[in-house]
Amino acid sequence: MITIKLRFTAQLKDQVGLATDTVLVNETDTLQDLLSHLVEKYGNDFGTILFDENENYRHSNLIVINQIQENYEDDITLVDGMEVTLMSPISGG
Amino acid sequence: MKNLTQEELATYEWQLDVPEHGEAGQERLKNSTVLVSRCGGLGSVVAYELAAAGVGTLILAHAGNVKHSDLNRQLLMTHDWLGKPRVESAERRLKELNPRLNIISVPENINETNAERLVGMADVIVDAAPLFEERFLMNREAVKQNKPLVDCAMYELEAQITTIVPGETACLSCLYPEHPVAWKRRFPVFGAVSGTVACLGAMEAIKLISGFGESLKNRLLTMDMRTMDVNIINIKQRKECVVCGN
Repeated sequence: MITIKLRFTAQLKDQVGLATDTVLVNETDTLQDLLSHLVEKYGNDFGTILFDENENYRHSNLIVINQIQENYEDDITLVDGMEVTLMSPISGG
Repeated sequence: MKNLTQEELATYEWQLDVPEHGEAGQERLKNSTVLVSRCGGLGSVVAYELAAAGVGTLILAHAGNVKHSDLNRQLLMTHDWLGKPRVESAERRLKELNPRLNIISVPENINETNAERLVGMADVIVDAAPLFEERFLMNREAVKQNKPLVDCAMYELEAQITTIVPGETACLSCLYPEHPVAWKRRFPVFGAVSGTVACLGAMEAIKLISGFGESLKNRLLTMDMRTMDVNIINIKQRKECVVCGN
C-alpha cells in the first residue's frame, strides 16, 4: 500500500470537511481508481460534484498533482507520498 | 499617444522609478483602457488600484444598486449611496482619487448583448464577475478579439488568479470546460480576501500594459489565507476547448 496526500479546495473542501487528508491505496491503482475510492470514502454528495449521473468525470473540477494540472483520463502512476489536489471552480463577486 | 503632464510626473514619481516601467510604461498606462466587470469585492479594488496607478480609461460594468451586504468588501460602495446605482458610487470614489481618470460607466452586467462591444473597447479585461455565464462570455470575447484577460476568483479564505493571453495560454473554458455544479451565487468571503486577489489582478493588468515582468501565463496562483499557503499550478490548454481549441 502507498500513501497519497490529499488537498481539497472550495466546495469540495466544504463537502469533505477537511482541507487535507491522506489515503492508503494499492500500488497498482490509477488516478481513476483513486477518485472512485474517494467517492466511497467521502460519500455521494462529494461524488456528485466530481461525477455526473452517467459517472462521467466533471472536468471543471481541477486535478492537480505535485503542482501540475492533470486530466482525469491521463495515465498517472500513483507513487508513495504523491500530493493530489482536487479543486472545485470559484469566481468573483 | 498622450504624453505625461507635469502633474502626472509628480503623482507617479514613486512608480516611475520601478525598473523596466519608467515614463514610457507610465505613458502606456495613461493611454490604456481596462474593462473591469463587475465592481464588487474584487472589481472595486482592481479599479481603485488601476485608477491610482494612472490607467487612462476604466470601463466599469456593474448592474444594480448598493446594498448593505455589499459593504463588507465592495470598497467603492459607500453607506451614503445605499439604494443608488453601484456604478455611480464607484465613479464618485474613483474620481476622488484620480480626477484625471476617464470612466465609462455601464450600469449593466456583462451579457450577450454588450460583451462583444465592451471587450472590443478595452486593451485588457479584468474578470471579477461572480456568475460563470458572465465569465465565460468575457473569456469567449477576449479570445475572439485577441485581448488579454486577468481572471480573479475567491472563496472563503481562498484566492485564485491567472492571466489568459489568447494564442499563448489556456483560456477559462480550458480550465472549466463545463458549467460548475457545486458553485453557489452566495458564498463565504472576507473583503480582505477579495482585496488581496484584486491587488494581484491589478498588478497583472499593469504589467501587461506597461510591458514588464512575467505574467501568470498558463499558471494559476492559489492562496489559502487560512494557512497563508501560496502555490503556483501549471495549467494546460485543452485541444478540444470549444473557445480556443483547434
